[in-house]
Amino acid sequence: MGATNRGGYGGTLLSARAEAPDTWIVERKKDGRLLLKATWKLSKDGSTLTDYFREFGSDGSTVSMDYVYQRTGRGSGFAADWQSIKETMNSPFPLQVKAFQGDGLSFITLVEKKTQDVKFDGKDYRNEGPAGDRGASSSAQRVDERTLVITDKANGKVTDTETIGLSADLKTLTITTHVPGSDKPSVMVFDRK
Amino acid sequence: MAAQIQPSQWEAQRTGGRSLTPEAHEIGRCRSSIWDSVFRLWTRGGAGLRLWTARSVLGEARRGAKKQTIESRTTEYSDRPDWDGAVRKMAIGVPPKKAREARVFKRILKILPAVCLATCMAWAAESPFIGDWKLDPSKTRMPDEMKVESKGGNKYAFDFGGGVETIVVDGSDQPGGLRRDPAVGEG
Repeated sequence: MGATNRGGYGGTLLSARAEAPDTWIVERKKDGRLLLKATWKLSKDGSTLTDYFREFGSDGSTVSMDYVYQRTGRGSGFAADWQSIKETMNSPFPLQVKAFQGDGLSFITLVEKKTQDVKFDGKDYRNEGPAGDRGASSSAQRVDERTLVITDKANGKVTDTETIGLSADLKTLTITTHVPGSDKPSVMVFDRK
Repeated sequence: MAAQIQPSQWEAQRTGGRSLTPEAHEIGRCRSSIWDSVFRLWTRGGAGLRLWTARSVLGEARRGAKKQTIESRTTEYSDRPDWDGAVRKMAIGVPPKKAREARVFKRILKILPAVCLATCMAWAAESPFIGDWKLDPSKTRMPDEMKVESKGGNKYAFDFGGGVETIVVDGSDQPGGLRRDPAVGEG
């Protein structure tokens, strides 16, 4: 249920039910509205779990991702420590970058409804959208002409560090995200439209 | 014995009766210093600044013709009958060096904010990060972890990274008793 916590789900209700011996349906709701639905399916040998994850926005939008997890800890059936080995984003995931207050930049992720406004002065700038409402902010440093580092915080505490790099031909943008406590960074590769 | 030409008569001959004011000389000199400074910034600036500068330079070129006339006239003073260093300064109205530098500095201060703004705008306009981007799923990796722990019977503890939620797997909506991770905020 990969991105279950991505948006922050305080005050939500969680449910799970066994649809079949090898299939669980996991849902999260808030104020009666379905926020997400994950269909978990175990492989025959129980070593992998496939998660068909769907997140529903209040505007009717849907984010669709499929994860394949591998069992890493002890347990049987669904009980285990699971580590993803493959993630497939089925929905378009556009990223828009605009100028912000002259020499700053705005990184707009429509799917996550998140806008990171940054200037390269080391100061924290509050995110726009729901993330900003939850106290999320970002600061940025310019490493060189084609590399930036953005530090994201929630209520003053660092949540992740994003290194944003451009290829030499300026056609590919790569965002490498490091989360404190995790040794596996996420790497998102974007092509210029 | 040849009749001695008076300076006033000589100047009238050279300038056709028109006199050169000290301000005219000074403006030419100040402009030269300002544009030297702008050129230094221009070499570090972007296309926007260069365009802005180019427009200014066009205007300057027009004024340059006038300035050159002033300079050529200035050199002609050297064959004035009463020519020497001290007289030269008085003749062309050059103020003391410190006063001249102060004026130049004031003019640079006036122009500097515009130059800085233009440089910043040039960077933003040229930032290679700006644009619309689409995710390439085939090259993207978003590793994720989760933990599911049996608590006996149909009760399970789930940890999706934001805290542990314990519920009964019976299809009912449950609060889960989420233990929040302060780093995530709401879990």
